[in-house]
Amino acid sequence: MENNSPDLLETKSYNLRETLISIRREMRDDPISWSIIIFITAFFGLFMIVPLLQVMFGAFFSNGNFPFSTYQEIFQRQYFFDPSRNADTYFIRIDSSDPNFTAYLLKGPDYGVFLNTIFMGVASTILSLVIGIFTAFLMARVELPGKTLLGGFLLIPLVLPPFVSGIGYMALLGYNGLVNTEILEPLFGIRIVLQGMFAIVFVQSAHYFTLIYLNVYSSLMNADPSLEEAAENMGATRFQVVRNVTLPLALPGIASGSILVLILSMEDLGTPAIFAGFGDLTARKTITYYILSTVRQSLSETGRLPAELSILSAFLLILSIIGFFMIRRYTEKRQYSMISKGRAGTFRTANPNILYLIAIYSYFIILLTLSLIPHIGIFIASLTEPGILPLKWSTSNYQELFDLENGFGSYIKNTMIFSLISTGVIVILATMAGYVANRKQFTGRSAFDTMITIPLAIPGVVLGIGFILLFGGTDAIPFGNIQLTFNPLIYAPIILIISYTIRKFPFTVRAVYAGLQQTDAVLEEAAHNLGASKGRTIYNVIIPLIVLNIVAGALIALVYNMSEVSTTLILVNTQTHGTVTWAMADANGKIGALAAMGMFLMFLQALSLFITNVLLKNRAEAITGI
Amino acid sequence: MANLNLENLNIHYEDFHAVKGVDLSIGDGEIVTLLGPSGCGKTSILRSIAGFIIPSDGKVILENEDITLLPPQKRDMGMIFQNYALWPHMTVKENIGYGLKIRKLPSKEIEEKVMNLVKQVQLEGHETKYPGQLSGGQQQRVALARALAIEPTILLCDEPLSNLDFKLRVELRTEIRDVAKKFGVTVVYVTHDQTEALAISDSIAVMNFGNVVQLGTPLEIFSNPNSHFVGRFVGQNNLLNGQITNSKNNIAHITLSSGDVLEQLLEKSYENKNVKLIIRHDDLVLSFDKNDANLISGKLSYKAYMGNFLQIEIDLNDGSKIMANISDHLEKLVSMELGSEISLQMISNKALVFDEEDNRIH
Repeated sequence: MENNSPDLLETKSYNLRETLISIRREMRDDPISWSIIIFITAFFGLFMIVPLLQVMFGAFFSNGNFPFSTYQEIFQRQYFFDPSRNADTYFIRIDSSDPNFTAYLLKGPDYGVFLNTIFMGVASTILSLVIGIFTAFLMARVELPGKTLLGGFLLIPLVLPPFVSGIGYMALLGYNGLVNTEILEPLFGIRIVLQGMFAIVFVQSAHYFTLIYLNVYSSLMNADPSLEEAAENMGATRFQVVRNVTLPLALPGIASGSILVLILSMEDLGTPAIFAGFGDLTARKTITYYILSTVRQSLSETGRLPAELSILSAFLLILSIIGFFMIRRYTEKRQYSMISKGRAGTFRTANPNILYLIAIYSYFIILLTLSLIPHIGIFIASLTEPGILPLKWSTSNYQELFDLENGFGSYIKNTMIFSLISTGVIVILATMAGYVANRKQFTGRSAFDTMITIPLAIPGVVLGIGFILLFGGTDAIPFGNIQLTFNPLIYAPIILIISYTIRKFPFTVRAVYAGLQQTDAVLEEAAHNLGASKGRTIYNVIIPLIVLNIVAGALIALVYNMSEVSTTLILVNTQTHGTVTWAMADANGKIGALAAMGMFLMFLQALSLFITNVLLKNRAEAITGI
Repeated sequence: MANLNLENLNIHYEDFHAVKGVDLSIGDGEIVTLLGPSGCGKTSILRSIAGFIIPSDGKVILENEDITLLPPQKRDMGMIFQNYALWPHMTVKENIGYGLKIRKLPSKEIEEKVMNLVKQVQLEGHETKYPGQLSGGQQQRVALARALAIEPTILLCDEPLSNLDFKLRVELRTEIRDVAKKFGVTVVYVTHDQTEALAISDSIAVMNFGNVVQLGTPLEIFSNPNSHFVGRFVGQNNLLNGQITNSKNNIAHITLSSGDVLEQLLEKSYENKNVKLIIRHDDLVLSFDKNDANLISGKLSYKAYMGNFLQIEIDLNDGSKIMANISDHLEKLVSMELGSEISLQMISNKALVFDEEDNRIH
């Protein structure tokens, strides 16, 4: 008999030894896969794990001690925590200082940086949830004429990152927006302006509801129709079917979608930055914007980062990581709930009478108007000369945009260079990583899988701080004495490309992974069986089958690279390295030129999404034939 | 075209011992079926022959050469997969010719061979179609042709017909056997369908819990099962418990747990011995004479009209049940109410009898 003592340390060291032994054996058996694993782990280790550990370390240690006083400072500062502020005076303010009109300023609450961030996240999530679920139900279960067209319109918010929407929103609904100056003031003598948290939540929800909608819609469409029929067969009313069958089946999709929205809206830097750029003081009071402004200020003044930045970053980081693991759990559950053999038939959809139809279409018109305001605003603003009324159409904004020497052209050039290089790196690394993660059994596989997908959740601001701490030569954090004097503020392009690569890696990996998932491993075995070598099999069988996924994944990565905001804003400190998004957040009120750039991003994004959609759809039909 | 030997083959999955020291010898041009319930280890053996699994112990020997560790692509074995594994991005012709392309045959020769195979498996006119455009049976034929194209040493079939409907299964199993015999290829065939195994094989290895329980020709397996497991697995039959109450001149009186008494010729005389009996559904007939020998009586509890026979089930008075396929007196049976008293007679000496150690004693 073996020693039965419950000595944990002993068991652990035994397991560790066993793990090492099995890794060594696997390395001998499959050196190629392990080279890939080691290379990618090293890449992520150096450029993601170590920088983030630096941030965490900074949040819990200061000169070897727990920085208790810094925490105390944060919790006591009114700027961070201000729950007792009288909300009434801030929700709506009526400003009659201008004799021509009365301005209704809807500011929303202001409880300080910390609580504002939480309010922003929760409010955007709830609003997105309500709109998203309701819309998904209408689209999936009600017979509507022109549904395809509606479905297309509902995806339009996706082609505009929320911070770009902010610009379009300002152009139409801002204090001097066209709706106010041309419609509300002349007709009613009023101006209605959303500011602060209200404005941010509005812009975020108008974008993020699509994520919930897509998630729930696909849950509803993928469920087995017989599950609903079985309930109806047992006498359940339509409402009971929805409550007892449809909704529970969609619940994991709803849960993971809403956690994603929560994370994304809380770590969104672009939207607050745009509103702040237009002079909205409350919009500055979010964690991300506070980090950005403090980084810029402190680096130029003292050359080091204050300790509170690590604490704020760690807060966002921990929150996102928890969220990430929750999403994962729900996604696994969702897959489970979809398992069903012999799916047959289609969903029966409700056939509404004319009154219902009118109500439903009114809803869609309002929803689409609100969510398309930014696009319309950007379009108009990009083609008019700023500040001149009545509107004067002009292409001067676009001329400035494409003037590569002086105007905004250099930003476009930078954006394209950084994004394309990063996308190239991503495609190569993510294809290899996706293959290994999907096809190989190896020790530590689930950790590897987590490592290459978790950047989805990691706030760009936090990664940016990590890079500054690791490479910046600041003396803030001597974690493990790792400090490289490779100043990101000087070598921004390289660091930016690396940070893009890390942050957008999961999108391509997921696309590759999805392709492999649909490609039965037995197809590879069949080729081996007929004598094809491993390399030959990958070339003849795997690549042809997943090439569309790789292309689609690359396009997604490219689009998101081009519209990356947070790390870019944190890491770029000089106009020479500025990208389109950097310029947009920095161009204080130059609304025409900003709008032109927004149109440019929107065009590229729409094009890429369209291609991706076409590619993946055709693929699904061509290949499910087996 | 080769002979294949498995020596003391062992396969483990983590803690699960899937194949337990199997020895098997397969002769040149023979069709051998591994037959058994799911989880018995038959597919694991097949995959270790193909080289997709490296056995934890034991050897795979092909023509006196140890190929246990040889990678799958060097084995020259054709395989038909359960879901066919046709490459959806290649046409029928490209799928069939792939192995030949790998072997760098001149394209003219590939074309010739492929067209010949297409003819053999009756796929003329479908050469340029993609797998997604074919029916299940046609996909199966492509898989067969693809596996045969490389003129394999061994043809491996992993439940190739299980995704097809009954009629196609019957048609294709004959076709596979014919084509295999025509090409003279050695076949290892995995299935859990006993009729398929009986129809297609030269010999059958019945497997259970990772062991080969019996190896023999289809006739031997069917008529001389060496254990009650094999007896139960092959054919439609009933398993009954009984006791030899007395025997004379090797003729034993076996009292079933229901109280009915059967006469049966055994190898020798036994006294007071517990036995298991297997009685096939077809070896029972209807009886209306209470004085007949070998009667089993009870209440009719189920009947299903199957065309040329009626399948019935009878509740015996100890709670056990017995099923039979009756082709006589069909009209009378059809009109009989459930619950009616009914007697079945076992055709003389048709029971398979096993003692407590599971040894066949008749």
